[in-house]
Amino acid sequence: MNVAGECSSPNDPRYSQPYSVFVFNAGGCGGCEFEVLSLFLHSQQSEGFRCKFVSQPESADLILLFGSLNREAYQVLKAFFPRFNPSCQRLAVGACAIAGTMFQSAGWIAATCSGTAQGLPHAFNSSWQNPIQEFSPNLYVAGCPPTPEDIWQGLHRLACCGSRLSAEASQGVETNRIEFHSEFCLGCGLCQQICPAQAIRLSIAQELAVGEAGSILVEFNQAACLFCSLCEQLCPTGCLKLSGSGTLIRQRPQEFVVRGCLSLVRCLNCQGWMVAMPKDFIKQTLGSLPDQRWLELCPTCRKIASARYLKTAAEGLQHLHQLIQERGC
Amino acid sequence: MSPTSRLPLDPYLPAIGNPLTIEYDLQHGRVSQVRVSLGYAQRGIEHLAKKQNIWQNLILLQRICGICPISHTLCFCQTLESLAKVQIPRRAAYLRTLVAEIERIQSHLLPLICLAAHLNASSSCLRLLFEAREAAAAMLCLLTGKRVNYDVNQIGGVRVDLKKAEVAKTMLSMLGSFDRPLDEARGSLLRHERLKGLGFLSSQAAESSQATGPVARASGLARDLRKEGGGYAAYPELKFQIPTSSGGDVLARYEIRILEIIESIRMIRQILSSLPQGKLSVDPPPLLLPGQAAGSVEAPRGENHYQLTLSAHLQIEQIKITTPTEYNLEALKMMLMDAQPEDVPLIVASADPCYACLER
Repeated sequence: MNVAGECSSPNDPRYSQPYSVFVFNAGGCGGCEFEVLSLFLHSQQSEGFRCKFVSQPESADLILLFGSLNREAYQVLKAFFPRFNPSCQRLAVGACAIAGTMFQSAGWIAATCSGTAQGLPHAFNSSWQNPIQEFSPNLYVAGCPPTPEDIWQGLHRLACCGSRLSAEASQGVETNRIEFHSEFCLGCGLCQQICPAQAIRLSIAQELAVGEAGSILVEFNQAACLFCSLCEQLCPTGCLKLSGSGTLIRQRPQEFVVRGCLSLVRCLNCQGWMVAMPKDFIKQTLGSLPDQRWLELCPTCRKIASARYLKTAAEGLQHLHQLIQERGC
Repeated sequence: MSPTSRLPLDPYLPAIGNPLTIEYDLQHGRVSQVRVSLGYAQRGIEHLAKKQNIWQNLILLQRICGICPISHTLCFCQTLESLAKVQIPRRAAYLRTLVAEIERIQSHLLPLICLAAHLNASSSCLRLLFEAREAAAAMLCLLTGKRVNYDVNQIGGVRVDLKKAEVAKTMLSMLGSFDRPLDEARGSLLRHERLKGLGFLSSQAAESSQATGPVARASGLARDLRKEGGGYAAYPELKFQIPTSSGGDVLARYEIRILEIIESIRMIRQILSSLPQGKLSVDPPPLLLPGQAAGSVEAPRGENHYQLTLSAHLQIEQIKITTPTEYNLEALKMMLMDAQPEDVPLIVASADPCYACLER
């Protein structure tokens, strides 16, 4: 638990008093509640840093917020604001509180820590003050739900470093739970289609002019991710991996995003834009790379070209059977 | 006649910490009328389910409740499987039952933890109960890779497998770690004289208020969907009993939960020792058919009921979810009648209402 390098000793005077935490449960499924509750055990087993839950927000060193903050719950949170100690730390925990996940589009969630939610009635939205300005968490712990280890580490980091939380202190600690290998990606967009939390986005990086090299930006928002692994299951090339390990603690919600870039090339035949074929993947699957010209055709032109190459359907089927027999698959 | 005073418990219920409002009237120092109002956890899940596809719905419906996620997906899958008329492989049925029973253990331990915290039990007792719940979470993590919100079910089978024999062995050895906390809870926690006769619910009242789950069983109604109507998943093939009690009070409800944990441990032992070989899922994937269907499962807190209509485009046209806490709210109001105000938190906690299931 050596976070900042300066607060590892159990004899540190800051550890003499348990760190008091006020938990604000803003609804949601109760998964985060369970994981926050199990911090009790962490605190009991720890020799150095300890924490306790308090019921009065005035006496808390830290406010811990989790859950899907809907309108009713937001009214309660607002009523609590004046009672918070101005010097207290604020920690946002879980995908709902940070990014709203799929509940954003249902129109019930009033606000998330990374901005006002979409889908609110306009009249309601106009007088809305974004709670990020009022609540402004110092640290975010993402996951659905986050592991108790992550929450514990987040608490510990805020307790030790306080307002002096510097960029260096958190460097090298953060690892991602989504691994994306862009060299294998076909840019098919299946993952974006299936993602229930709308955490995956494929977008064209810039307006493409003639004679310019373009690219597709693939973004995975780990703050909204539910780690349901549907995308991993569907991905045809296996370019996506969800690992069980990895710490999701960041100082800004934007830092949760994992990015990858797919370069666009022009089709040899029709000159349209297409995602460059993942040569490594093709080599791995087929054993060797086919003729270079095949790789530079877009899927439509490739179909036309192969139809011309094989002339008749019967010939094509025969060719396919031959291939199957050769490879034994 | 003395004036009536109105007291709200809001926004967090004492003893369980749930964001739920219970307002009651006091007359002559006794509770005379109870109102429950909701709203803090509303997320619009049923509305969202109509917009998303079936695969996404599995993930969405799981997020209704983080304490009993598999009961929701199990109910959804079984309803759709009955519509598609598919029989899931035996191994898949056993694995579903395995996860559901571990979930029952960890869900039943939660009210015990709340009780221990509310009665200011010794820290060793609280710690033992917490460790037991951590053991249940660790078992789920071993099996599914996640402690909470484990995405296990898919239509026609399961997505996880118990591949290694060592995992089964580790899980069997972990089952032993529940004995001490349960003895401790029975020996010290449930010895409190205060719990006896508190929040009495007669079997007639339980019957008329449509109580379900441990609340109904503690009032002498032997109601359990795992046995009733032939059961579902792998339950017809397992040996287990439905513990009931005629006590009807707070103490009986906690005792029933402890007895159910012991039955669940028995079931997990049977499953781990005789897990059938075979496929994890129907192959090829089941062909869904449009139509209307309903299904229920026995969630840890009671009956979980789904009713849905699938359109010709295989989108959910209409869905109605009824959760155990919804059934038990009327029973909770009956329990609270004539109670003393200081006992209200204890009685509410003994019914184990789940705010996340209640308002979706």
